Amino acid sequence: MSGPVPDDLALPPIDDPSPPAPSERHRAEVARRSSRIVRRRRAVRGSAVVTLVVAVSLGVAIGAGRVGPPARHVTASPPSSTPSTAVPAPGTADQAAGRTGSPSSPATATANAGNSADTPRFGTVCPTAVGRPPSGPWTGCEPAAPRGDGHGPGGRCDGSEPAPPCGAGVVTGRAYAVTLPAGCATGVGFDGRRWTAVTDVPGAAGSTVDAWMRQVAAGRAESTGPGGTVEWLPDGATVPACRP
Amino acid sequence: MDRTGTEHFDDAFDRLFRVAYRAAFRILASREDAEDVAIEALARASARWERLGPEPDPWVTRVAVNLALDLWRRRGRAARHDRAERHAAPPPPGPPDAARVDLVRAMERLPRRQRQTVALRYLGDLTEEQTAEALGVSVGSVKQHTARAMARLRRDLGE
Repeated sequence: MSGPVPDDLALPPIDDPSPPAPSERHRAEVARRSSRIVRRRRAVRGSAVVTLVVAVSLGVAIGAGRVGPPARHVTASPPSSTPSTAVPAPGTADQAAGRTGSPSSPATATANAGNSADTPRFGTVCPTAVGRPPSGPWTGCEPAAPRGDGHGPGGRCDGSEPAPPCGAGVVTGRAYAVTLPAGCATGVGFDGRRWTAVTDVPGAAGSTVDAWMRQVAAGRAESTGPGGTVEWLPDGATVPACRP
Repeated sequence: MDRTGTEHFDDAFDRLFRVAYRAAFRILASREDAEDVAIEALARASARWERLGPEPDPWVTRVAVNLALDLWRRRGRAARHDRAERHAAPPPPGPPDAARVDLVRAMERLPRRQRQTVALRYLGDLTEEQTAEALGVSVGSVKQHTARAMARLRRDLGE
């Protein structure tokens, strides 16, 4: 019984004796409806993507709010002394250990105390983290950074450093430990250039902040440390008015 | 045909239109409705042409049959609603062919898979193999569903 119509079904004469021939009118109508279907499908996909992005953004925002940087700053253990291009191995442990006892630490603590944004909002602390932050998007809950290895005060870059992160040769996307001057529209040496903060680097005026910094794209960098993430643009680029 | 052996939609248009129209007309008995169903079935086929594979006929037939049955049900509900509003006024004229009415009504009482099988085999003129492919089941399953559906249709139609 593989034929189109079986013998044992007494079908009445139900075919159109003179079916319409497919015409240009039919083709035009099919094309119109097909376009409508495709548009509707794209709209559905677009809204699904928007919904996903909003949900992810919301999740990240909630996560960042729940795990504030100050808590991490208080609870973070010293970063690992894993030799890396970010921080030269020699002295890393000392720098990390010096984080709680170095001259820069009280200044940072003072800065945090004076910054209301540093108050943990939900009383949740970041998990004790060790090592460099991940290469993905930063959440504000990265491990504490050791002091920068620049030749300037407190580990700041003074322009004499031949190697990254102060000197040229920074790998895009890789996080480097740096010491940043707190304040608005402040400058810092990084990748052999000077960079200007687009937003306020949290901390008391004149103090320094140990943070992670990475170049996220050509001509754009970001840092994360106590108080949050700051965007940086190289000197020479148009830097918008600093947003404290 | 392209390199993958897939026919171009424009080249297949006339054949698919006739396939969809015939299946829809067998259910609806209305040239206007059958044309509309065929156009809709082809529009959906066009929108997903690359995914239909080298033999789109079974897919188009299935869509046309489903659209036609949906339209049939909507018409039936509307007619019942109208009758209720007019308080048992004489039923509106249905499709002209009483045998067709009986057949489609009997088909509506079949379980879903049996109804699909009968619709594709006898209203869409698909072979058992094509019906199996269109429904994503084995040929044996098509035979089984067809046999059960036919037995019930014969009983319901008083053969």
